[in-house]
Amino acid sequence: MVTPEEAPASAPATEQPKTPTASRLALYVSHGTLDTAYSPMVLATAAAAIEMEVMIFFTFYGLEIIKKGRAGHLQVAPIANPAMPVPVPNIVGMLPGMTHMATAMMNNRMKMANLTRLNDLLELAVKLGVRMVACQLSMNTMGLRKEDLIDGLEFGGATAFLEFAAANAISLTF
Amino acid sequence: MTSKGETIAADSSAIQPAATLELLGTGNSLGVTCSTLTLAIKAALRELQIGQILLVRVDDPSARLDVPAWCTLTGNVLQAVTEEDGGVLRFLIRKELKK
Repeated sequence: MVTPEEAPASAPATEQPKTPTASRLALYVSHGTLDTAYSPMVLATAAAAIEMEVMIFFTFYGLEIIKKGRAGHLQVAPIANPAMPVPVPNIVGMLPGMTHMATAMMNNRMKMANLTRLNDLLELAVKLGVRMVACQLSMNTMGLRKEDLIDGLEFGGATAFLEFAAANAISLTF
Repeated sequence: MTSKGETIAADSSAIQPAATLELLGTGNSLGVTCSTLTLAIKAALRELQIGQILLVRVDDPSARLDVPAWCTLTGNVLQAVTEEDGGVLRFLIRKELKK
């Protein structure tokens, strides 16, 4: 045991070095299938719940998620997806109706797990102040206008995302 | 309005730009956006002296967020943002030393 005279004159033993904490979550969403849409939305609402500032940048196929009336109809294909809960040989997965079946199966599992519906997650995100930014360049590429997308969005480009992500943010891409 | 919602000097009539950069879509072609837009601003500002002002006229909606963000990140000062009839945005940017 170290006596007070022997103890080095440094910080008291009880003081821990503080871990720098990110105050922001920056999500870059470029895919728009049923399986890839949930991860960013769940993370965004979880981050908003712990009062992090959140920005979601929807680009390329990510725009599918924020198209008017589309979030409830996203699909997942069983092709080239060996991690599916019920794996199906690709040659079977190609058959007409298989994407529909895989989508129905996935939706059913999500319902069983009480996973909040994507439409509700989107609404919740907007309500919680999550900044939902649609990529203007992708909109131009896909031929989408403001009227084709849900309410509550901002319209930006890479710079807007970079400004947000550069400052004390966890940055993730989906 | 900046991305944070602050209003920048609405009265830009007194400010004399040293140069004007027009980035407008024509007819069916959509306006200049994203990194094409910001790189064009960067190139135009390179021609100016410190303290001089560039007027950027752009019709792309994402400029509303991107141009203020670009200014903040590069240290150039956004003096004013106004909107013309017809949706064209006018940004007055003062060249500053990069910090």
